Amino acid sequence: MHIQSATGSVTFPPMGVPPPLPQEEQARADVYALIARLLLAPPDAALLASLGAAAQEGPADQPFDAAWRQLAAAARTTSARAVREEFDALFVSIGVPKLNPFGSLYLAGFLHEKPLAALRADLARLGLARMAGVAETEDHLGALCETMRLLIAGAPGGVRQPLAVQQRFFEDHLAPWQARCLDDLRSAEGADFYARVATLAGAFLSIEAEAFEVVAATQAG
Amino acid sequence: MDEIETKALNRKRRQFLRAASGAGALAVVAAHDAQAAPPPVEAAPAPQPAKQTGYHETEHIRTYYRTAAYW
Repeated sequence: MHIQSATGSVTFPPMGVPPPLPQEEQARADVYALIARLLLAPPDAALLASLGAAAQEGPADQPFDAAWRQLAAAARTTSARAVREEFDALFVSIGVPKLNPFGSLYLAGFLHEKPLAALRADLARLGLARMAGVAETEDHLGALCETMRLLIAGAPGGVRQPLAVQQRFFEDHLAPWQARCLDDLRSAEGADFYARVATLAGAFLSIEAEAFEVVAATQAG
Repeated sequence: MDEIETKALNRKRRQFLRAASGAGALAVVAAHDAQAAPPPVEAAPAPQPAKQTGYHETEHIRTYYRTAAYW
């Protein structure tokens, strides 16, 4: 069904459907996709309803779990319009937005700086180029989460990357600044639904960082 | 690394992912796995029937988040 290339990445026949991922890996891809979706655009009513329906039983004994429930609770009590207004107030502005979730800004102090160039070089090596008409540069936190999703799950006709490539990308382009950015989002004036998105994203990316460490520690030992 | 080591490593990593997410979206798969061992990826298994205990929280929202297509 699939071809193992020399680099270990898996390619699919052009019209083929990717084979199913192990459930944990699919779950990672899904959470990345959700975070990307919410960071790049406000949720519509259907997505809010879906989030709101994602309730769980039993105690929330982990940060990710607790964050997930809080986001679901917020989705049940707000409206698409209110969240869109919150999104616009946080991320969209004629002057300087409250939040500029771009890696270059956090790493180099300015937009469109060397970290963005380095990222673009890596993306080119991975064969990824953003869609025409997309406004956000590739170092947008949402775009980077979407990149992680693609590395994990591939795309129809696309390429899945092995864990080592995922880890390298994560550590080079997300790990150095995501926590600072999410802290800013969590504490931004007017952030309510998006403060919970930030908490969920932060909890998830912490799990990701640790999960990569599980591999690194085992390989070192 | 040989294939057996890789598989053991993946198993360890997935155990961590389940544990760290508590009863959340990632962890719901634990209940799923307890019912039936997951099929090997290479086996191209038939689509699994929908199960109440399955990994449903993020699965059912998967339909919606494509709208912010970036790549």
